[in-house]
Amino acid sequence: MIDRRKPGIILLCCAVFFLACCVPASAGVPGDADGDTLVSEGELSTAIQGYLNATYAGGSGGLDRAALSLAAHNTLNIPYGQVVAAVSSTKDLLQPAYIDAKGVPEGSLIYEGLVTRTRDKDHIGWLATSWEPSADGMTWTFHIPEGATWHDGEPVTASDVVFSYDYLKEKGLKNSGVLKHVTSVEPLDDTTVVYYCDCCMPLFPDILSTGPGVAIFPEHIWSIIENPAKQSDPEYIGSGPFKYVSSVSGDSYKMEAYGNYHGTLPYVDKVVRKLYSSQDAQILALKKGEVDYVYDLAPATARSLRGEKGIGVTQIPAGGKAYEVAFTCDVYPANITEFRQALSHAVNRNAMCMVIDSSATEPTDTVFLVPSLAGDQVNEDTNGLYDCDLEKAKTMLAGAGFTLKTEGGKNVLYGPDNMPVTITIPLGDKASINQVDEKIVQVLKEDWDAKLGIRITVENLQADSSAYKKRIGETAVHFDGMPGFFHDDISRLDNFQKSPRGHNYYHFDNATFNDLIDDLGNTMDAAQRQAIGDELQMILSEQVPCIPVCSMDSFDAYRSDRFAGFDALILEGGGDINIFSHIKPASTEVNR
Amino acid sequence: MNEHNSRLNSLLISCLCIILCIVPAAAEDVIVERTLSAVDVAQGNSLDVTLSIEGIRAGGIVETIPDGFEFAGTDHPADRYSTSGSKVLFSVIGENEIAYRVQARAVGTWTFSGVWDDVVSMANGTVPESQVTVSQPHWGDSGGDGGSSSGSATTTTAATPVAGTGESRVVRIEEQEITEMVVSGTALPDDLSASCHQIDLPATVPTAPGEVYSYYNITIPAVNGSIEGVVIRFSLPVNWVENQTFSAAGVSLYRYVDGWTSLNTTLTGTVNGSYTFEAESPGCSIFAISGKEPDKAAATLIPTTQPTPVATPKVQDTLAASAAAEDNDPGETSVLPLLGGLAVVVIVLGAGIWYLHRGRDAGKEE
Repeated sequence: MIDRRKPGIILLCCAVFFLACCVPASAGVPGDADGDTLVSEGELSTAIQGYLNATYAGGSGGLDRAALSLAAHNTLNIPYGQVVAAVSSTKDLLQPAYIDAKGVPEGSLIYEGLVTRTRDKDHIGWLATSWEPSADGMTWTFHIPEGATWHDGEPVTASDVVFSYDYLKEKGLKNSGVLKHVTSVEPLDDTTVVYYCDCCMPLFPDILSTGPGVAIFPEHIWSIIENPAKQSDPEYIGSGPFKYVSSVSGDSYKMEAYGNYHGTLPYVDKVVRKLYSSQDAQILALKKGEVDYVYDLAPATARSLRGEKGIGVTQIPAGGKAYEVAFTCDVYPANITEFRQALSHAVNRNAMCMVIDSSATEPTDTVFLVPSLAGDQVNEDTNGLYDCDLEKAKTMLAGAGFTLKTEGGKNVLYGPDNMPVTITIPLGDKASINQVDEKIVQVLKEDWDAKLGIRITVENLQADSSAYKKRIGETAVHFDGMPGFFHDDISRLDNFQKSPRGHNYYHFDNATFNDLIDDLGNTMDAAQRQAIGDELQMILSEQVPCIPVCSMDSFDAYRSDRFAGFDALILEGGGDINIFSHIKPASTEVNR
Repeated sequence: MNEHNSRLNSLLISCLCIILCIVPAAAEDVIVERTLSAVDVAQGNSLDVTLSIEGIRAGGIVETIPDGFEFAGTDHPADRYSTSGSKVLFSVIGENEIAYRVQARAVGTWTFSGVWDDVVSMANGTVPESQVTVSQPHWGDSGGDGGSSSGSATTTTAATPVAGTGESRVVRIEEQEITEMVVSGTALPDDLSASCHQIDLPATVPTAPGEVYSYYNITIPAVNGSIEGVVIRFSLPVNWVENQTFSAAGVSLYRYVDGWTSLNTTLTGTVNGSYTFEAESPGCSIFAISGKEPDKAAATLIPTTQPTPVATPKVQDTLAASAAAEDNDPGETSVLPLLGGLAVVVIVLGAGIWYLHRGRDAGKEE
């Protein structure tokens, strides 16, 4: 009997397999025949003809009325439907202190900066239509469009740009630090504004757009707000592609396309940001269709979504954090350069990547820059210098006055002071997301503790960010997990400069390095900048203020059956403002 | 109290429903109107139809052409309209006016109707109807038994000598279908003229063979020289031919002289939606443009000259049309493989289920 059924079962399986292969993984925009996510007038006409023929002339096929309506909205760039994005914390919802918050201008859809930056370091103009530096790089001129208006209808002028700078500075807001080299901002006319700097600023658009960047606020609203930490604009009047509609405290807020936007209107009409307490809740909502976009997924979570019908997952190479073992260079024993140099051969990046997530990490073989982001700015001569070789590390430690002994079957490293070397590593903040710091410690313990005899203890401060930030200046070693883009350009090497403002993150102080950073800041010529950058990287390779571990990919997931363009826009970068301004509704389901 | 509340709720809900029904229609502000170039038109003449459009950013208009007319063309881009039977389907993407032409084919009072569909707001409505009367052509006198001729029709122009032919003159005709005559003979005057009138068939003349398009009376005033022959060039709307049972190859010019004679008629091409022909006639008289099934028509032809090889437009056009449909309808072509695949699945599923049942039955038997 079994034998007789077997062919039938096989045939059924074949049929099911065939059907599964036929099911489209993602939807295109109705009427878009060439797949470019835009419905041209010719494509729309073809779709209309099919619809008219089926509806009024007894024909068949073609789009139904709702789908055709969606196609027409695309052709005519009339905003359509609603996209819901999940956020993980209330700080990702619009907060009163948004004027000084991170994520502006990339993360805000309401408030624009002059520019944002894409992943390939190109810039996208938002409030600015164009910009140019002076020959010496000390003056940057930005042009804003004529006719641009704030969401309350008032014109956006150069004086708003001037006001925004003055306001940040006058109120002493954190974002004013971004503009520390700006001496003044002056309007040339209503649509032209000039930033004057006290030094050459070859990457000034970067400064305006990242980390966290500066948004432009309406003078007529904010000039009467004395204390931005406690007061805010309840109407959230901005100049961006979306305007504020409503919010539910601690739950969500809604925006809609601003009809008089000075740039290209978004294709989606409404954006809702909704808070979910956990990533699991976000994923569940995504699967149920309550949410269309979730970001910063754990690699394993992202992998579990692959193959889900109607859901797309984008893996952004080095789009996540770049992890490093950082030294506090004025704390024993990290204040001994030879000790740092020896340990640079005792960090097993491959093992750490395996433990963290081998499919989502890439070991960093440079001294700081991430090759996939910095490209040819990496000094090739400094690559691979920190090879993992514990014997070499032992030899170097011995040369530096450290003694390795075996006591009770365990290795113990004695320092030049004849005391066992003990290192406390605080865990918390950026490197603790997805317990990456714990995984790095796990590998370090195997090598540093068991083989090199360095006693390692951890201090878990994951629940207390401020305590963690205080503590890392007191311990010899800590971990860093800054966003990858902080490792994408030689200009980022100023992280290691000791400036008159105080210590850097590593308490690293090298006079030659400090001077070179000053030189870099005053150099516009790309070749000269590269030469300086090479020299800076060489100093880092010798001084070892940190040992890079790996860069990590980031993962976003979205409803591919409802929207087109998510994948390319996520990979392009430029922030949420770029993504939500350009995704295209692909299903009438979004018209909710 | 509860009853009162219930009634109030019902009333409110009713009002809401009424408002919901009314508001969308009122909110759209779409206006589509049709303007005709005339309300009376003679049979065979053209009529211009203009649709003025307000409030449709994207959508379509479907015009229903009454039986007494046929669609004759439009300046609307070729990829934004199509025809289906008596309906003309226009895509509207931002236009505020669409114009098209129709040709009056049958006497009577006819009504143009249409619908519009705004696909952005998903609203639709009707285009107010337009009536037009088609009357018999008002023929003028043509002399003799030439029948009555159309007052608006006709006629002559001065002739021009045909280079190299010596004794030939070309006479351009302004009648709708008859376009030109090449008159050959001896001692023809340079200012040779001719007259051509579309006519009603005189009662004394029998109907011409086949499906007659129209009758004409062509005359050449007496000249000093002698006329040896006339080549008559004429055209026919492709649409008219396509609605017949014969192809363009079956069209002939017939001459009446004590009976109808099919002239040697050659299809010379297509121009502006019309087939062009030329026919050889020994002289002038009453003529009829008519058509028959090709084989029947061939039997009546007088093979005085070797026919010029011509295309068979009807067949070719059909092929071209189907080829165009394949090119222009990706949705259609993309659906076919899927349907094929689904058919395979259905067959495989059916086979599988049959096999399972068979297995189960066999199991029971065991």
